Amino acid sequence: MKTALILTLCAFSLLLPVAAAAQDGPPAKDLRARIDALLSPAPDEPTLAELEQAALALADADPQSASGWLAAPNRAALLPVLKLSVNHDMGRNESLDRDQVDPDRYGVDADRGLSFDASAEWNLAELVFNPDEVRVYGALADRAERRQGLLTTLVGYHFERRRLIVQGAIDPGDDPVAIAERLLRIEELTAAIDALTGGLLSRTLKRKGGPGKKAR
Amino acid sequence: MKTKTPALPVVATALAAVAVLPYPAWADPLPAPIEALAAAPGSAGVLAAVAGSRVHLTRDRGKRWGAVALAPGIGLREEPSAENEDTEQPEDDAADRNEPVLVWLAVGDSGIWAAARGGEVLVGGPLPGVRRRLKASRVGGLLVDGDDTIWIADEDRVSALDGRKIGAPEVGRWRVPNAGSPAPNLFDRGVLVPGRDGVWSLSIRSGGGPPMCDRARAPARAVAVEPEGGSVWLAAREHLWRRPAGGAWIDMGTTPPGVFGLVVDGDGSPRLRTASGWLERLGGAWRTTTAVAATVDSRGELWTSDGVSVRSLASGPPAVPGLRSADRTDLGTILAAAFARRAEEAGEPPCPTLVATLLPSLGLGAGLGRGLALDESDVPPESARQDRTWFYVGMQASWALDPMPDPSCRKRNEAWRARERRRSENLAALWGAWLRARSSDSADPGTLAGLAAEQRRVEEIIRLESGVTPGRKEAQ
Repeated sequence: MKTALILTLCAFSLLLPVAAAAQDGPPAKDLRARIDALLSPAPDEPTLAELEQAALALADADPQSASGWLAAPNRAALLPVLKLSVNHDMGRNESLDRDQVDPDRYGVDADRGLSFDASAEWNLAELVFNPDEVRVYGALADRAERRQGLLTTLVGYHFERRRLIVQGAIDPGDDPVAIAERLLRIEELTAAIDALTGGLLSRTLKRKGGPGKKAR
Repeated sequence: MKTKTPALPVVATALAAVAVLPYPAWADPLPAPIEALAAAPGSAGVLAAVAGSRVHLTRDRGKRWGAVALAPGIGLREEPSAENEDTEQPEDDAADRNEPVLVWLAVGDSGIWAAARGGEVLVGGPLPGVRRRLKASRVGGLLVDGDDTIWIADEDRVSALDGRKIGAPEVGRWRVPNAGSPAPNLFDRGVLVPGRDGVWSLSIRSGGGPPMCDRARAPARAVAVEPEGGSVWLAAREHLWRRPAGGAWIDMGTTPPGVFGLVVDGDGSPRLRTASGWLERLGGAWRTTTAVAATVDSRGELWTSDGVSVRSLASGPPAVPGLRSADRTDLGTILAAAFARRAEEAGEPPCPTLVATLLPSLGLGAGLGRGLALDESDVPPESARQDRTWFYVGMQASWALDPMPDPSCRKRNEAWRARERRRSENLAALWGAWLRARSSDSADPGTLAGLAAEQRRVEEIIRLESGVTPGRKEAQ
């Protein structure tokens, strides 16, 4: 945790010129432009798009991977239900004809056969409506909902983290408790983003030698 | 500062009111000092005002006013008691006892209204007259929601009454210590109630959960929900907080002490109700206005009264500072793009059609066989043997005659449409939040950073939903 606090302090130190500028009282427009620039991810951090992609991949919520689901039920109806059968028939019919004048007559009819049958059956109605479509729509809607929730959470974490970093840089304040709370919240958000993205944020910070690496 | 109102002029004014009904144009003065103003939750033209001992109602944005209730002897307007003379600003809940006794008013879309002062609650409408009188320990706020449910917050509880049924028992009751003025919760048709422990979300259907904010924003004194944006605003601990839908609380700066009412208009501009009147924020500082009553209607339009007349500050649709005319079509573009994107991914679930019922199952079959037939007889001895080989091709069509339609289909599709509607509303709320974040300004760098981050966050969520970045029309 100590390292983490140092890391964030380093990040703040990179932004101190902005803080100084704010204290000098630059026009609000300039300040806002600077804040906008600072809100963009630092070069040693993954971009928001990269974080989103990682989160989607981790949660298997990528829309591309489910793009073929909708057409699948109707397409499936083009393929028939195939039936193959082998029949071996054996039949034996014995008869005894009895008559008062003629002698009894005994006869046997026997049949034996072997056949192969193949059939294909198409349910044409499923080309128009396949009951499986309903389940697919439900699954896709759930998937979209899950993806939206995931991305909304991730975007919220991302910008809250950026906001805290920028706010700490331009207006650090002098209340040690408030500063500590802010730094802890940044660490908490970093961990939360890592949890959603499989550790992409921390990994990138480490690899690109961000403030974390410098601090070490 | 309090002024004593002589009793005689009040009576005379009330009589005069009976004589001049209905009142002419909205700018014309109502005949008694107006103390409270309320807008209906869904119908933007329905407003109510408490003037003297009367409740006045308009259904056409104030073009015609009618007095719907006269409560002689009760009189919502009373002389301030000695206790009320104390204008010391309350601090947290401990100082609540020193709050002046206020007139509260709420009106529903159908014209059902509730008005209160101190411990007396009157319910009436839509027909003239008071239909019900209730006792409450100390009313802290009222609300009539879109279902005509009347929500009454008194000292330590919130009660919900069915406004359409005279004398019906409560349909809900919750314990909320130091309950303040409720605001409609746009997401579950319930209400948000500020209290000693934070903001409570209460709903007749789902009951109530824990407070929606932590102790840092408690005791909550006043809460409001943006009519268009859906953001929740909160006045607590001499700070104003805003929480966009799905977002975190943002500190919107300090407030004067003793806030017990809050409205936020469609521009995202807050107004505070304090003992010294209604305040608005100009350049980061709070300034007392001439308004003695204020309310915001469902379209985000702010209505105020100077005690004499009722006025709307906006003549047309809610104005947003810095709003370009192109922005007005921006939301349409965003919603259309979002809808197209959703339809592409998972549109409205299909239902079985007549064509599908009429189409048969089609079968094609082929077979090949070989067999032996033997026929033997003992008298006379004879035998016949026959080898056979056969081949066939056949076709079959079958219909499953099922006249029963899928009963769940309509229900399922209604649920889908309701969900899409909620998503659209959420998107519209996000767009509103984006506009406000973009057009808001502050001299405080910390607040400015919060606004900029909020703008970026909302922009990104809208882009993810629709592929359109607000302010830019092209889909990405």
